[in-house]
Amino acid sequence: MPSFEAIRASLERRQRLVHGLELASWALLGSLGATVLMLVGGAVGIWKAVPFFAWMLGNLCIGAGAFVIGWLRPVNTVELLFRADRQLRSQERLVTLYELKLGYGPKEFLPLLERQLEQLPVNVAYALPLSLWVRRCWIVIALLAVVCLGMTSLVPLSSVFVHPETSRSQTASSDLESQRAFQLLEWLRTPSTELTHKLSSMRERLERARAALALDPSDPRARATLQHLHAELIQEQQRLAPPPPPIEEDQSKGSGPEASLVEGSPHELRSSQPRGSETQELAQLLQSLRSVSETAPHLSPEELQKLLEKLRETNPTAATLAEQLWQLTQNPEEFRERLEEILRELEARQALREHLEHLQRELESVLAQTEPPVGREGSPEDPLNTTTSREEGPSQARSEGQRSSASETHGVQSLESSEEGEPSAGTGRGTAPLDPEAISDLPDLSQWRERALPVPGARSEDLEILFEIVTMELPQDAESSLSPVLVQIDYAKVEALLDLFEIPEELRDAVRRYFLSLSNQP
Amino acid sequence: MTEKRIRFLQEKFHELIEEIRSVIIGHEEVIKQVLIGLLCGQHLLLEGVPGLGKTLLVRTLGKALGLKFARIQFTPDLMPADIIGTRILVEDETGRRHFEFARGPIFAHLILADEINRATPKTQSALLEAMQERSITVSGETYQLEEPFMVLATQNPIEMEGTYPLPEAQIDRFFFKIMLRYPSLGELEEILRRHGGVQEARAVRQVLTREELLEAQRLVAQWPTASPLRRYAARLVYATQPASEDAPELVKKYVEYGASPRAALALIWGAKAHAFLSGELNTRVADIQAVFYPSLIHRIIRNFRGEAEGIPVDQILRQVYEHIQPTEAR
Repeated sequence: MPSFEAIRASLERRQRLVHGLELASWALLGSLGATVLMLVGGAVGIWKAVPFFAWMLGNLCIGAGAFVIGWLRPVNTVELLFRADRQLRSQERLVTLYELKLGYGPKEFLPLLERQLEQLPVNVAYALPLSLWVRRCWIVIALLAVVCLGMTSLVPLSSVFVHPETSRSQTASSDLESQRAFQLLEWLRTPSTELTHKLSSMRERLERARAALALDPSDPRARATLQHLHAELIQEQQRLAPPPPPIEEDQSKGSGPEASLVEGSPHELRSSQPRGSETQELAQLLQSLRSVSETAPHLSPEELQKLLEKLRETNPTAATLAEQLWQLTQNPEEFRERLEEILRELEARQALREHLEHLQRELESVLAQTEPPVGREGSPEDPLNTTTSREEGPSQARSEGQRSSASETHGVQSLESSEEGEPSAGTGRGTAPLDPEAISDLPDLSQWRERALPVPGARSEDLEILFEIVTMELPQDAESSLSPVLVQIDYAKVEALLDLFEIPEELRDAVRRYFLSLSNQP
Repeated sequence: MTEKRIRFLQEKFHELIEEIRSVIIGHEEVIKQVLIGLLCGQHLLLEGVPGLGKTLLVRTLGKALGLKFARIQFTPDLMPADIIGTRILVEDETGRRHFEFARGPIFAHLILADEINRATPKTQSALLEAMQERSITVSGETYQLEEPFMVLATQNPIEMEGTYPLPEAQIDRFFFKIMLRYPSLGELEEILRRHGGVQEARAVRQVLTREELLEAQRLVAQWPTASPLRRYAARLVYATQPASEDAPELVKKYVEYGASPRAALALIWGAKAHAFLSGELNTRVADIQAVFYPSLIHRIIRNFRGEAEGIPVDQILRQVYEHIQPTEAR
């Protein structure tokens, strides 16, 4: 059986725990009650909504603080032992023994009482139970917490980071503005530094290719690099572009199923929207936010609200974005800092965009200079200007249509430019019919295939590409006309495979030339 | 004192109770309360109708303890000298005459003051003074009364004519007021079976010596009692004061004077003795509660309204008892 001292220590710990829980229950009851009121107020728009983390953290802090204060409350040992005695029906032995140990009363009774205590089973939790009131308090606290969580879960998850509640009470147009602002914020979240590094590496590669072409204008490798760079540039431009604005639900639905059939899906609508307007929007946004950033430090919160209201008339997206930032920060200094960060990021992206465009122009000029003379009639144009072929006439459009249908079958999007001359997304793969000249240079590929297939370390994906190449229908006669067989090429992979595979030296140039000849075909 | 000695004395008192119970049928609580008074060396007031065995109880107790027992029948013509003794003229062998103090019945260990309210206040005062001082002074000479000294006074509550009720101040000097109730039918049959209608205490044997009694009294005086119990006793007594914050409604309404500090002492001492008799080694809340009524019932003085409305004192005390909880904060 535990000694008296051990019993006393455990009772004191229990008492502290009970004190802590009692005080914490009171504190949490109050704070959670206030939280419910705040959430209700926020939901009906009386005041600003409380973010989940804010109320959760606040309540946890209050509860923990109250518990610690309760735990640290001084414990009256005599009272404590007397209460425990009453609860345990231990005939007041604990408290009597404690006082005898303190020197109050005849000492000769001490060992007698200690011996009696050894037979006493002491259940600390039973000795000092939580009062019924406190237990009820904790049940109410749990219910309040569930209510708070329930109310918070009604708010979209994005509200955790950006102001949550206002969108619910706003009209459809302000919903779109909020979405657009959130979309832009999310877009800005993607770091642009990675792109900066990539851009410099692309420039280096361009310079190297240009130098190689200066030495040997027909250097196929340099030309392939330029082609590949071009594809990459288009991709990066795509990534750098701001996301298209969201489509209003009513608008996307149109007037019924017929409308959707005619107009296409919202996604199609979105992608069909001109990119130039987004760039312009971005410029306007930058300008509006810059003006807000310059004015904000001198304004009170009320004045800032008025300014944002005014801004809403001219640039609602900028106003919503600034408003969300303000609700997120609630502090003029922090608001300005955040705004500055956004502005810096926007400016950086603008600069990058200009840089990319400049690089693209350079690349196009280099490609134009190194373009081999086209001696065939009806030969395809430069892959960078493939759109022009669509406008040439119905007959060509038909043949092109066959080609594009084939490319869609392969799930590959051909390179094409938008109306503004901006390229759309692409996978880096191209499609091209066979070039008879290149084929004529090709040695016996069937023999090569037999030798190349068992290459060790090659991945199945890579082998599949080679397989596609070597099993295409090769004409025996170079003069004969070619059927429009489409070959799917990933230039980067081909380059990598040429380096990776142990292709015999005498065949390597021929293979490369063959691929490069393919790349010249639209 | 060793545990063995403590246990021996407790066992002796247990035997004493059994010995008294062999003569007195029923009245277990009364026997216990009488022994509590004995252990505390205090005086008791027994109230009950005639024929309930008050005298037999005290006589049996005296015999079982081997103590000198005296019975004084109080009557209106009883004089103080009849109790304490008087100086008488005595002639010695040489023929010289001198005064000699003839000790009265008060010079005994156990005194049964039968129907104390029948004597005149003067006589009552002489007894009460001796009870308080434990000594008497006659013609300038002081005589100490031998320990243990205990007076058990009886009162008849029904025959009030020609009586001199004890004043409150004098009643307060009694440690307990013990109410003897009428025996139940079963107890009455047992009385008839065992005694055949003849009240005799001859068969009682002595189970405790005077020295052992005094040793037990000393032991009980230092019986371990925790401070929360003293506080509980104090709160109980304090709650009988109409001006007290803790006083229940009946006290505020019907009590003129609450219990005195002497009542609080009686409560604690009685609780200690009760714990001793219960075989425990420390005082408990249950011990205080056991002696609550006999300690306080004669110490509550009702106001005119209380008396006029006939509110019993035990009803007031019950409300106090229920109102004050042991573990309540001060």
